[in-house]
Amino acid sequence: MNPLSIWIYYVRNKQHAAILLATGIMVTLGIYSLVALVWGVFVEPARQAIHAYSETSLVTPKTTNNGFDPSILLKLQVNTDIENVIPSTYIRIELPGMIPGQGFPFELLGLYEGDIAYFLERYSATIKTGRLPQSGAAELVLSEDTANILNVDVGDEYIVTSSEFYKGMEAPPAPTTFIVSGILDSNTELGIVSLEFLNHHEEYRQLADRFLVFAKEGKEVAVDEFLRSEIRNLETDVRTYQMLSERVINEAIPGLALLLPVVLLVAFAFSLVIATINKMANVQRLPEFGILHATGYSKRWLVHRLTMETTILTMAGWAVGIVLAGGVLQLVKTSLFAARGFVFNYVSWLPFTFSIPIILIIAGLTYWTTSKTFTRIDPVAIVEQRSMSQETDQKHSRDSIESQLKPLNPSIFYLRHPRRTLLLISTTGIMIMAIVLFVFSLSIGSDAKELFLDYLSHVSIVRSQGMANSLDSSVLALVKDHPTVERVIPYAPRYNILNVYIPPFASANGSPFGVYHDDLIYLVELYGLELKEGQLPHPGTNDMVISESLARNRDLKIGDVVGDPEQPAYPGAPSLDQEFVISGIFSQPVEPETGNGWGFISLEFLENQSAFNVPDIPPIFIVPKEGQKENLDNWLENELAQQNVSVVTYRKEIAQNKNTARQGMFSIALLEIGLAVVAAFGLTILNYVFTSERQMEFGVLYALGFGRHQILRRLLGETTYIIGIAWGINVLLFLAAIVGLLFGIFKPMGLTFSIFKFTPWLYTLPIPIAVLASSALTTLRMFSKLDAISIVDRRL
Amino acid sequence: MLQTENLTLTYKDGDSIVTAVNNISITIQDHQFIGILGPSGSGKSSLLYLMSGLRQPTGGEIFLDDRAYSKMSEKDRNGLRRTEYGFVFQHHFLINYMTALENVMVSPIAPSKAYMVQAKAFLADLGLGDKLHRFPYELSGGERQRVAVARAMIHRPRIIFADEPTGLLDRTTGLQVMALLRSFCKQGSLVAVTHNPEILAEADQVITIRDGRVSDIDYRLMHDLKEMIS
Repeated sequence: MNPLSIWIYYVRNKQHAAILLATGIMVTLGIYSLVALVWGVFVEPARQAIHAYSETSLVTPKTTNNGFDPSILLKLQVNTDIENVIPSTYIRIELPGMIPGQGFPFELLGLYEGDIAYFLERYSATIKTGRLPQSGAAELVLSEDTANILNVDVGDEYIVTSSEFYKGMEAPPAPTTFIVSGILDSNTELGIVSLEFLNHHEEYRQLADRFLVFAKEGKEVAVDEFLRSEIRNLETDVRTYQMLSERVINEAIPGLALLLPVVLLVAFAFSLVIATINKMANVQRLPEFGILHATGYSKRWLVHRLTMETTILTMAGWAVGIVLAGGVLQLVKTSLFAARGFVFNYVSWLPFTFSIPIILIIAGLTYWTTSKTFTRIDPVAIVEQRSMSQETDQKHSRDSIESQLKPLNPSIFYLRHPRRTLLLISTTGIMIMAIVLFVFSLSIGSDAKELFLDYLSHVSIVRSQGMANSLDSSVLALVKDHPTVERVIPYAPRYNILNVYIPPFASANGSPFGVYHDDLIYLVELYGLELKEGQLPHPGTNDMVISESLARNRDLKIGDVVGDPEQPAYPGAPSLDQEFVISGIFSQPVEPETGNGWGFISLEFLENQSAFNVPDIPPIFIVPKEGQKENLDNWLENELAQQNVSVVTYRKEIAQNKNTARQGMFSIALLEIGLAVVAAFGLTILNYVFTSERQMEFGVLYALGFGRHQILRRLLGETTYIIGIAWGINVLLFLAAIVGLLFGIFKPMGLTFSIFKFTPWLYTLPIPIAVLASSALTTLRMFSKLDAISIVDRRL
Repeated sequence: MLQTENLTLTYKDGDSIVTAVNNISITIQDHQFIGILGPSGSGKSSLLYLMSGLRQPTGGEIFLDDRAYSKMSEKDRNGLRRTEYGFVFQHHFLINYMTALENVMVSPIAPSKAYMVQAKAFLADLGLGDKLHRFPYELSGGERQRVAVARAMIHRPRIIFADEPTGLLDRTTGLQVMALLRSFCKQGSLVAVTHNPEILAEADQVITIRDGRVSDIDYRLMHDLKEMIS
């Protein structure tokens, strides 16, 4: 073998090679698996849920009341690139995700009996068991995977609109029981119900009519282009499969964007570990560098060679890591995903792409650190003194050190090795930061949302279950007669007019409530709301009054128009059939903060607009008598909720919000376990390398009479000390960052969150604990092999 | 008094069994300077490790006064090395991130300010008063070994075991270090292992070891050496 080959060093120094290789493998395995799992759990199910549109495009009138322009249908039918146009509608249900509480919207397609066969043929789907839905019957067919996910089989009942997905809606459709009539053999997740059945039910008739457009083979691009340019207009919406896919990806991008810094941070931390291990190994190789440099090899050549050595080994580790990740994820796929009907494509561009920075960062940092080291190389000093340069050993200032009374204190070693201290603190901190970023973004979002539930602090809500259905008069009578009730206030269903942006990726409903003028005055007094500027909405006008929090959040001012599609009031504002003008802004409520979620429009105005279907008996706010809020809520939740009505109370909404955040954090906890294992591995290797370097010290201490347990205790004390310091510093840094975020970004946006919530801070602990535990185990193992005699018996 | 009875140490080296120490019985009286002389590989260092409790014999017994090593736990033997014995090796084995003073302060069981004052005075007596806060790499070879001697003596042990204590020093410095160690015999015993007879000039007894056995206790050598040096 060529003695200067980049392989020879590692071939002859297998332990060093094994450490670097294992580090490369672990970081790749960790990152690839992390990203693949995030993709598989959070994004892939949403992609699968829209596969039902992979062979078609959707043409839909934008609002239910405009109806469908017949000329549009004619244009579609005469286009020779289009093979078929079939009418359809859909019912949205929720497919449960891999994590408890997680769900993805999925559309059951309503198709006429005569169109189902064509539809199935286009998707190469066939009936596996059972039969297709009968015309007009409450039946549905599902693809096998979808049936597995919903845990139903032929003959089972499935209530399609009682799912979690509708909990957040102001007026969901009433639950309807469907019978599963058949299971499809299909590669695509499909669900089909009878359109004849839906058309015979009033509430489903309000769902959007639309057409499924099928292109002829090879004409998909031309048809997509035609739909985008010729059919899409202000009244007609067009959604191609590509557009749907883009939407799913766009929704996933914020989460993935949060994942990228995690990956970069972990890769950077590991590259620091590798750079340190290399640096130590390089000290042993000083004679080699000195001789090579003395015999004419340039510093650049040496740097290049060392970088290539590390990079090639990292690439090998990366490749093995990818293969191992494939094995681990295949196991996960078989045992967890496939068993529950979920598709899990772990061989994907995303985890692959996310794992590339590992090599780049490690190679880059190796090159940088090696170049930095080799600028000082002095071949004479190396050959004569085995040090890089004449200056190397003069690293401590003679006057700066004062001897300590207890030199074996855990702090001494790290105080005397500031670079190692910095390295351990920064790598531990980086690992902690990588995961806590996730947790805090969730916790902050959850806290900020609670601010906009404050309006429920003095009132509760009762509404019908069916979309735009009238509240039952008997229920209204029951409420009015109840002894805890002070006043009943009717309001219009809350239309999606405004929403609150909560950085980085969350949002909350900020839409105003439509109430009668008298009730508006009453609520303003009840909550002690004061106008900061402008005026309350005049009855029968499109005026709107909003909270200062919302105005600050969306930078809205008096006179701004909400709902204009040409000039949106803020980026992403919805376009409405009827515009609203901001006439007033409430002042920020002082203690207690109870009015942040309030905004009002005129119910008299809404009743005169056909675009807003205000029911005969609309939903109601219920104001309790003084001191009766808890009794009222108990009665509403425990007794009135049995009357097929939806009850909304402050405590229930807060609990649901907290539960959602908890579920998110649970998912993160699972990810953190994986990351903690990887972090513990990297930091343990670093600690192990540092400790191995101190064999002489331990041997001498043993010879001087210190028992193995004493030395071990001291070493663990040192590790605890440094990891504790790392944890403390990072917690303080986080606290500073969070305070900065609160006062620099959230407060100016009219939002707030609690800094001192205990749970997010708990997530800072697993990584330090994992590092301590694994360091303790490796140190214990090393000490079981400590041979003091062989150390002190050295003859130099 | 430290006494060995038929002390033996054997170990496996591949397929063969090596006897490093073979049936050695010696006695070290208080305040004696005992030299153990022998060529490389003769077993003299192994004997020192056995006597100091660093290594367990495969046969025989060692007594410190009337306490048998075999009856002691590892903790007890560690305690002996901590309180009753001191060590000086061929290499100084100073801990490189500790100052000279701190390296000396490693020895006491309960470091105190009074101990620190004593350690400073002791280092000053050894000519290192101005280098108390220097790190080992800032000291010369002789200075490092003097710090190692101070570390071995600071806790007033009964016996100091010195394994080739001058092996890495030039002759003059080596003799200075030996003079320091010899001065210790006013308070305790010194057992020095070496293959260099010159440093044993002041020894009360020289035990010569060959192939793991005591070959001689050579008083003539001592006399000749004393004459040669004088």
